[in-house]
Amino acid sequence: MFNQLFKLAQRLAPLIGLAAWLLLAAGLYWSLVKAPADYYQGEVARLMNLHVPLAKTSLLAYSVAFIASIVYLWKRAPLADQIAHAAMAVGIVFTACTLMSGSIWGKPTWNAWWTWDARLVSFAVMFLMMAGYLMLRTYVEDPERQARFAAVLALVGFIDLPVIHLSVRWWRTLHQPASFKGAGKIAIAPEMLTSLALMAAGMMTLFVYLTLLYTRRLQLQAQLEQKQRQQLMEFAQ
Amino acid sequence: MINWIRWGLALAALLAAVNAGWQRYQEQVAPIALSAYAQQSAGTQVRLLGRVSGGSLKAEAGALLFVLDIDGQKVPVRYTGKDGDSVRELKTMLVGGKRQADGSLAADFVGINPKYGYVAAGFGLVLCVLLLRTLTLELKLRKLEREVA
Repeated sequence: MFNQLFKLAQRLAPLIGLAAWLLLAAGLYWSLVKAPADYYQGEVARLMNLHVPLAKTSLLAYSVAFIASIVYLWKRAPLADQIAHAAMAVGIVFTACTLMSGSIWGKPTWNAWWTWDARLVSFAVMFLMMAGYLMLRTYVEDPERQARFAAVLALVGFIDLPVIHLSVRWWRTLHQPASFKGAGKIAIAPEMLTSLALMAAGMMTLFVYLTLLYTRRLQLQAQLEQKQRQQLMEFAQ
Repeated sequence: MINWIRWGLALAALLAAVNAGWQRYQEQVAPIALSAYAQQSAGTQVRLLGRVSGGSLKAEAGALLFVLDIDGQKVPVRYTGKDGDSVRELKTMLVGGKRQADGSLAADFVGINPKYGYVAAGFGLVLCVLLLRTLTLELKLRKLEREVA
């Protein structure tokens, strides 16, 4: 059932990709033109429309990898491992962009590109976990062992996600607390919320699109390796 | 062919959004240079970016008086708009209003230094990274599909 749904999604991938970029273009227009400048931060606050959706997408990427890793360890389904691998490979790009955009916002606002703040450090740890995951996949040659080790690492690294979320509550940090505190408790003006929602929808759709592409890439690579192995065996005989 | 249309649509939409952002910046945010300010006729709406000179800030009935220091050149400002409490001495501010015949500015808007370069750099860098990642992944996939076939 899931395999069939996934194949359908892969067939629809070009449309999903187009939808992602159109949503991002709409979000960009709303962020740069329609949304008002912030009273305290001025124009620089427009970067929040980029930084927050990137951060949410990075967390979504790790969560997808976490769930897929559990499914792999439980069912040993190769597709689950491929989705986890793809989510991490795509997620690391979003995580790097989150750190970059946060740094660019931090310089005019905090007068520092980087500070050893709990939220920033815990997010950087997630980036390192993703990098470690991808490195592990290149070091272990046996595909079954590689998938198993990587899945375990993804599970261990998931501990960082609640730390990221709660860091602004647990410690007194420079990073501002969450603006979304459940339904009906949103500390953002409605005209600013539209741009944030459009950018978040665009980023998450782009994540889905890139994950579908990367999964297809892993499937094709596996097919190619199998084909090459067969050719080698035929040549040896 | 479908891929070309897809990429064309996406890039056209992005460029249109960037262009609209640039137009808004020029119309509502960008300050003019002092040399250009000197050439403006009285009554022209302008925006200036400069530092509020130390010791120049005075409150008058319904107005704030201060001198804007722009690269050592002084422009007297009379501000009658809202949110005057954000004006501080030695603070770099964006001030908008009408140029007067004597060269002073009758301001109706004050805002903090926009530092728009950071906004452009942030959006530009991230969107370029994401576009490049999408393009390289699509090209790699097409190459693999050809090899497998």
